[in-house]
Amino acid sequence: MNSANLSAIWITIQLAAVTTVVLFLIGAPVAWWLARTQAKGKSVVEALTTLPLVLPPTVLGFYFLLLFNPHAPLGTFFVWITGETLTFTFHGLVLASVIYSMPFMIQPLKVAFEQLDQELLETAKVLGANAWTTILKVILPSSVRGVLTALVLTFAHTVGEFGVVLMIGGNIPRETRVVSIAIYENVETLNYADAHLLAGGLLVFSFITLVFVYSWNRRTRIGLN
Amino acid sequence: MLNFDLHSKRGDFELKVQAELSSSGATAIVGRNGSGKTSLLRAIAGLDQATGKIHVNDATWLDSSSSISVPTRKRKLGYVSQTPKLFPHMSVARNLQFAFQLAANRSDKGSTNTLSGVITKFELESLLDRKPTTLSGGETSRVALARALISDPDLLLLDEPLSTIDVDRKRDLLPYLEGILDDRPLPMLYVTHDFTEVARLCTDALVLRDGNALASGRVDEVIHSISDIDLPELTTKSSLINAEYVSFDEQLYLAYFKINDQAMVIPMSESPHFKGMVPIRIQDRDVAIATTKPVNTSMRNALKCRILEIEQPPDSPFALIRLKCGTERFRATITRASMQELRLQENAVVYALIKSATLEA
Repeated sequence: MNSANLSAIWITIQLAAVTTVVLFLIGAPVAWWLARTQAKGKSVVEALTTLPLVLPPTVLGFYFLLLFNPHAPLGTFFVWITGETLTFTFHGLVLASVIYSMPFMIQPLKVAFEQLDQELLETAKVLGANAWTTILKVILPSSVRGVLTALVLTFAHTVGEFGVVLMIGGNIPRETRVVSIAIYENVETLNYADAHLLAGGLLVFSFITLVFVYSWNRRTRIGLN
Repeated sequence: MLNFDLHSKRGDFELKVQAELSSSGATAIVGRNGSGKTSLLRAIAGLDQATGKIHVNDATWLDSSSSISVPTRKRKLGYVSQTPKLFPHMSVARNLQFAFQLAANRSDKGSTNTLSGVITKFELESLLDRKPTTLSGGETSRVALARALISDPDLLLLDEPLSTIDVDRKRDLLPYLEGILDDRPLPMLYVTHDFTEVARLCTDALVLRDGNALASGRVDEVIHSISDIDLPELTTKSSLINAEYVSFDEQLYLAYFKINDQAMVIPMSESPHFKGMVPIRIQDRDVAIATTKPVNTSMRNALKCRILEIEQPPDSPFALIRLKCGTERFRATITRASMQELRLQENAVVYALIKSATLEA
């Protein structure tokens, strides 16, 4: 396999890892709020966070392109603080992936938090635990299946994205060319040997990931089915 | 000392209770389902919003007039709910350690109870490595009580901690509860439906009805004001009367009691340790009625009573006779056939033959 394809694998892993971490930090509070709140805006927020699941990636990609370009407010702002553009860069890919993979983080977390026994939280309070201790010692450990499912699905889904990346990341080697793009490129240039390697690799990776998720959740409901 | 004056509203239910309770001893909270027992405990714990005042020893937990409301985690209390919750992802030992660490953070001196002390007291040595899901109901309750105590509370709130345990096992757990108060006297509010628990653990009682305090004071004083409607269905197939303990016959193993001016005996395997007035439970089915004083019978107890009321539920072969014996009231369930044969009528004077009665102490 040539070095361009190897770097595609490396970029894919980086993108998926960063996206998973960022999305967990954003998604966990949102999922917690969705699981607990009775607020009127709940359905709207729920719909917004699930939207990427039903929209074609090209729709998202199109809007990201409009938002991220250096002449749009968001794009301008990003150039102003970092000196780089959001379009056709790794940062832009991360931001797009965070939105694109959002349902895969929020749904399993929301389900896990909904199933959490309210009395356990009260017990922690009565014993004198503050919010931070309760999160680290009670909430996350008792929702461990949901948390793992969310992390693994987010990672896997980010690895598998294509349309959004193509539209806002382009195909810049060592910068934005991820595995799915590299496969497309290999097929276009009739380099079937590398296409086979990368496609087969993704297939095996995705299959193992899903086996892991389902065996982990055999006895509990997960968010996406 | 525990002193509170609480007011809270949740939906249609309004809680308005004021009481002052002694510093070292259990106060039974009794009342029918929906009378506000759990709401009261949750308000004191700060788990539900309430206004008013709560003072525990020298600490103020709530004082709405000066906008003081200490959050739950800073109130030094132990709370064991009806279905005690252990942290499922932690072993029994970790559950206890977690509470111990939190107690150390909560007060400067840390917990005065040591882990090993509490483990010994509740005999948890063999359970330490177990996960909560593998524990029986009784074991779960023991761990939950131990965990509540390890956090070194100034106040213990126990909401029917034994309600999910079958009757035989309850007897095994009562000594642990009694042991809590032996070591370190602290105020304890104990919600229960069970008179055995009241008699063994509690010195005081607070009777709630519809969110209000109906009566409060020493158990033997308050027990009079508890009527059937303040008790759940479980206990309404029997009555509780007050009797004065007189003496114990060591040859015949009989304890003698007086109900007003009439004598009553209860067989007992050993000399009782109590004095004065004691509650005695009589099952409705264990009372037979005679219109004349029976002679030549094996039944030891025949109390002269007056019939207050006769209830004949439709579709039932039985009639419920409400009886009054001096100041005490109890009931008899007999067949309607017997009732008609004996021509029982309200206000008639009859003899209640009591086949068996149990002491609630």
